[in-house]
Amino acid sequence: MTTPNRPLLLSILLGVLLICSGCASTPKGAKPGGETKVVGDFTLRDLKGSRVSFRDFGDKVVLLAFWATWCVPCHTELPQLQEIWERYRERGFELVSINVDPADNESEVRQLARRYKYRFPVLMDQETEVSNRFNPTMDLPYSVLVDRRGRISSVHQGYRIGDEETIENKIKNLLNP
Amino acid sequence: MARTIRSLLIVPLIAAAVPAAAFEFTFPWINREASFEITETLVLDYHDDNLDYGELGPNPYNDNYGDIRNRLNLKLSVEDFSFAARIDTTTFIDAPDDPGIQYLDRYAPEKLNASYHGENFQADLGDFYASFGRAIALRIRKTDELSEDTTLLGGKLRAQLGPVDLTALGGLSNPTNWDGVTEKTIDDPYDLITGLSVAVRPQESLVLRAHGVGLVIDPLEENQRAQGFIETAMLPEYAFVAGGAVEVLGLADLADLYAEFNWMEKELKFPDMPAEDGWAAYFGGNLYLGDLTLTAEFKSYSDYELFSETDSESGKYKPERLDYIRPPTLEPEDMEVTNNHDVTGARLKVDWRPWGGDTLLFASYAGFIAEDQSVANQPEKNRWIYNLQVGAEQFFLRRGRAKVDVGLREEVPDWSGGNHHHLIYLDADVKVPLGVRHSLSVQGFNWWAHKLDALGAFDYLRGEWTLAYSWSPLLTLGVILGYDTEYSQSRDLDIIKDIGGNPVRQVFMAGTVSVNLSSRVVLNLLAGQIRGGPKCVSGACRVFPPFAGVRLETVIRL
Repeated sequence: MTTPNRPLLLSILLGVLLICSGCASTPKGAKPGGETKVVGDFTLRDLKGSRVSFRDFGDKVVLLAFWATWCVPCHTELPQLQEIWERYRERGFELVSINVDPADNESEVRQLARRYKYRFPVLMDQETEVSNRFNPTMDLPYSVLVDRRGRISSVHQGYRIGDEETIENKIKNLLNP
Repeated sequence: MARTIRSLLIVPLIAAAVPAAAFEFTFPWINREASFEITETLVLDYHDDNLDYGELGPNPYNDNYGDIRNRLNLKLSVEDFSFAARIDTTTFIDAPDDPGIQYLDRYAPEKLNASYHGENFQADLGDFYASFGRAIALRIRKTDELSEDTTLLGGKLRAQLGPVDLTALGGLSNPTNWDGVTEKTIDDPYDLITGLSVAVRPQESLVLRAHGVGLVIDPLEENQRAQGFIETAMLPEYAFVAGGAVEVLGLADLADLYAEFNWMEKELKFPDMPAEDGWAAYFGGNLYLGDLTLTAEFKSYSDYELFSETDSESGKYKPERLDYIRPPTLEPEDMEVTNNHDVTGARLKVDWRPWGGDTLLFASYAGFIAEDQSVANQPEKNRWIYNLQVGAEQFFLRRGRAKVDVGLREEVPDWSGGNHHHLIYLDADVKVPLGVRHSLSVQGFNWWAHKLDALGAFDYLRGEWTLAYSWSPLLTLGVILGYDTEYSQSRDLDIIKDIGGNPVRQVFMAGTVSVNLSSRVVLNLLAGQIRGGPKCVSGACRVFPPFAGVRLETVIRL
């Protein structure tokens, strides 16, 4: 009976180890301020069929917000993010939403974007190419906040009412370092 | 012993990666900035007796065992180059000795990818996803809700040359080998898929597309397929799809239009069967009139299926159907669409935001005629399918939202006899803010269904509701109530009982806790029972076993 339990103990140990590492302060080698990863460029099609590259947003603070038509909390979160975008866009903030619906849902995506009056860019990642890069577990909603130097400042998984305050504070901090 | 050794090998691999995680550095020799990312998901399950029902009666072969699943995603990025790996491990503890298909521990790299993503040129080597047209010519991607994650293992090149967009790809079909639905192992189908797509944009609002896809099923003859598996006789030896699309975007900022046609030829594997031709036509249009949005869609598919089947070596691998296309169904995503390959029909959807404010009203109606799949070799027998849905959505208290829709779906034969299916469905989602950081939410669905099939006529009830309290950004506590009386063939809800008096669970209750330990570490705990049964996404359905027990999941992003 001892043999079958070893993998269990090892996995629990592994989990604890990883959790502790995740909660720990900045790892050795990381740059201060939590800015650790370069986003790198990517190119996707928007609802007008134009190719949009991440580098098009220059030195703006960018929030990449991943969503899908079937993601119920996404439709509560995105109107909140749109309000934040409207408040701070003049100061150099850009909200870029990345839809991960498959190609067969494209009509639905277009209708939904109009239904909710999304005015921010809606990019389509139908092959989950970009989503896999930032969010390989495909949890939704999921957002990635990128600073003016193109480095990931923070990520946010899920949406609870009130999360937008946390996200807004982080955006303000990046706009006014 | 071997299992323990494999576990021991995995642990140092992951543990070694952790201290080095989440940092950027200058890549040696080439003096370029680089970053290393880790996403780690660990799931511990204990499966109690789920009181489910197998083909031969109560099913004891998925009870009273544990499993530890780990998914480790690693990624190294150096400017426009990246290298990614996904390593999956599954370890079973006291798994039942299933006389059908065994539970097999698995420790393997699941996906590997090297890519270059420049401004006008992208190249992928290893595992990649692909989609041509509106998923009518090719669709290789993940569907997490159905535990599907198929990639092509090979190469993909994309180039943008002014108004021309070119994609060329080729590779072997590579599904994730651990099936999250049954917890059994599935083998690769070894199918070769190649494709070429060209898109040209002669004007700002006009895109013309052409594409071709070639499929050779198991050219190396690696597979052992179960002769009794219903799909086996229908497998093609090879298939070819050719098609094109016209897209008009932002026409006077009033409309988007899309039309696509594909033709398919298949040579069946079954000896002496003639080549089969099929075709698919799809049209979709959106019309934007201020606060009113109209969407019209039309589809006509004839003998239009492209799928394969994985290895079914006796007792070791679970045979699984893999679809390489998934044309639009024109119905709500979770509907049980039994035939989306010999069908013609249309849908009209209307969204209206009266007074331009916080209220939204929507309605859709879809009608189809489809070949009746319940009778073999009688293509002249058809079924009528209707789906009417109306709903409303209201935003309130600045961050609150309530959405409710109801629908009626009918599936009836156009001849006397045949199966009937009538369904009334309700979906609801309500989020109520309680101050700045606190909220309550209710979300769920209910089906009232009536079926007439070979077993006779019966009613059943199916639903799942989640009540949750959230404290942003730390915590969510939830209670899930599920029910399904299809096995009892009755709308009378009993906690545990099927039609024959067997102990099959009908009512399911679970509690959930979700904690954000930090913005990069999430813990999810579930204890209790979760409803099983068929689950569908865009016309693809899988039957899930119910879950009873405890599940702890940690997701860490570094």
